[in-house]
Amino acid sequence: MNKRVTLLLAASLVGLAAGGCSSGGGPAGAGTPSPPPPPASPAFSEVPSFTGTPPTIASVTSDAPITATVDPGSVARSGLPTGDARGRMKLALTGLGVVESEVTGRCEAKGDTTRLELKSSSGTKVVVALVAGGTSSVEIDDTGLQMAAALLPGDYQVAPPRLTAAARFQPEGSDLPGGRLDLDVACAG
Amino acid sequence: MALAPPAAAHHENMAARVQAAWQVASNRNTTVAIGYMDRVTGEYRDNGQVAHQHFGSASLVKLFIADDLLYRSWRGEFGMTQYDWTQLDLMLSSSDDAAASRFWSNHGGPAILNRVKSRYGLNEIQPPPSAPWWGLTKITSFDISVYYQRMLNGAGGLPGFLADHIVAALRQFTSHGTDGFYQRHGLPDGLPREGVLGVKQGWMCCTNNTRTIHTSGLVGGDSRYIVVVLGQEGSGGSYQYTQDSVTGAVRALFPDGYVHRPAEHNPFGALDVVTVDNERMLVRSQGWVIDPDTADPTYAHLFIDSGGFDMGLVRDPRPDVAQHYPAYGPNHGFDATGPMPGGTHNVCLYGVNIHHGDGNPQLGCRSVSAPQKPFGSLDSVTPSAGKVRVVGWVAESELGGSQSPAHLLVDGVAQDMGFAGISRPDLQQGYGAYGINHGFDHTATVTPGTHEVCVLGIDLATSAGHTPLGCRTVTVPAA
Repeated sequence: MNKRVTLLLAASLVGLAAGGCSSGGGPAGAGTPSPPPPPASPAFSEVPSFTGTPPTIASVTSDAPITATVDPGSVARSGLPTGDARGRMKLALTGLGVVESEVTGRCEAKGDTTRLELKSSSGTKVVVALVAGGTSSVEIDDTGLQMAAALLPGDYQVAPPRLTAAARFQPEGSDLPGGRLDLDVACAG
Repeated sequence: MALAPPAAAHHENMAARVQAAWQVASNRNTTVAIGYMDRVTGEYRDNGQVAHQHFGSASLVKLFIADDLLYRSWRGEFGMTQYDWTQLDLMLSSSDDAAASRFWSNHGGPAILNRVKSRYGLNEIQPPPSAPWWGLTKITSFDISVYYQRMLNGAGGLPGFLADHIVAALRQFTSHGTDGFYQRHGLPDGLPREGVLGVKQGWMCCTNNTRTIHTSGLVGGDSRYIVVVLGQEGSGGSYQYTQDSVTGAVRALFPDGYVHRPAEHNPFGALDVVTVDNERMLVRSQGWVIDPDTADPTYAHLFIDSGGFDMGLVRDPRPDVAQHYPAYGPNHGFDATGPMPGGTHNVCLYGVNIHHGDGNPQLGCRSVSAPQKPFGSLDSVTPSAGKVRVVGWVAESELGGSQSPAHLLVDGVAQDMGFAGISRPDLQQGYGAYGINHGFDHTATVTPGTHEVCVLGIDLATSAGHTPLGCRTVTVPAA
């Protein structure tokens, strides 16, 4: 027989087949999943394949690009009247979400500053301050969300009593832009 | 033969690594909640209470949005267009906010979360305080870890092909989000030596004077590891700073830039054949063992039921094995023979780690039977002037610890050696189940010359026959 290895009896086998350092069975404390029973006839059993060209990223993300570089303070003294405000707003915050709705509120032109206090139908409060020769800003206040940001150059147009704007803003404490504000508001004199 | 040391289990001390990761971030004033899970072993680690602390989700909530959409459309609750599928993939791979917002508003906003919570049993996540702001969904690293685990194992009801779709989208993560933000912080930059990563990141600033940077995802082509690091700190400073904190935490978790897979360093091999010689009561085992961390021979252990045997270095030539594993060289075989107790027994082979790895894996088992006969060993036959000395042991499994008799045969002439009852502590490890007082050490007077000296184990109880324990041919000098 070819070079047999005689079984040695006095082996030290402590620790043989030692297990891992598992805490065992995954995290404790998680709740019990409760999915409903699977459907008898699911709508599909594999990821659908589509023919034709899928939409491009640009068309998916949809917002029109901001090409203008108008300083927001430059429209602060453009003749917006003081009075009730009404219009539409789209407010997108990076990593947070978007509010797109009708807004109502008040416009106030005073000295170098035109101030719009707006409220969306969902309750989001937005205060836009256009300051000639100073820092124009937007303040956002909602349940669980407070933010102040500097309005960046963008597309600001005033044709009294109407203000339209499409601009990014940079939150206080941030080194990068943090969202975009689109406004189309009429101020009633 | 030198005894093989028990293999030192090679564990990544992930509890300590999590602590180190937390410390790295804390030193930079970044609060991090950490979750780590090995889906194969079930090991889960986190940094204690912080792992159950609420953070704003930022874009991690997009995991839930995607899951809810896919699940409900699969159930036929609504149809998804090509546009929807494209947006969903973009939302996951490039963290597209516009896609998330559209889905969020079209499919119930916070109701999405409540559905996902229920399906997955996530106790800690909470909807955002104000419906439009999906990024303020309250999450914990614990629940995100649980979500990944359950999404992958189907516990939340999502069928496997859709879970695969999510994973595929996460693996196609882009270096920058559609908003232009660099999104390789955390897992991608912290695990540069990992070939396959599925990643979902999050970032937002500066709601309530807080900057948030999250990294989460699945590591490996088998998505074996789940890693979640949620980070936040006061606003001010820069995104880059917080990203570096989170990436630093991941690097502290995995200093080598990849996740060690200990089991992949365990020995492998086979127990090819186990045969029993019923006449001589011997069991013969043949096989091979390789430790993937070395081309040198490695150690192996053999068990007969609970009795263990060290086979030492396994180094017989096995050209057939070498043909399949040329990188490890030719010498990894064994061919081991030893006494076999009567009855039916499991014979099992274990490879012994000599470098990395997480244990000594069982490489094969065979169930074998032998008759109820004596078994033992003739260890030595030593001639001296007019005498011959025989040393060995004999036992019989059906007698338990009781002693068995043996006969000495010199040229076929039997002499009764009586019962073998000398203590043999060396039997304890392998045959301890049958006691250890089974040794014999007998000296007989013989005539000078050459003799065949044999020892016969004498069968008691069930009569199945005596067992020849061994023979030697010796030359006895004159007295």
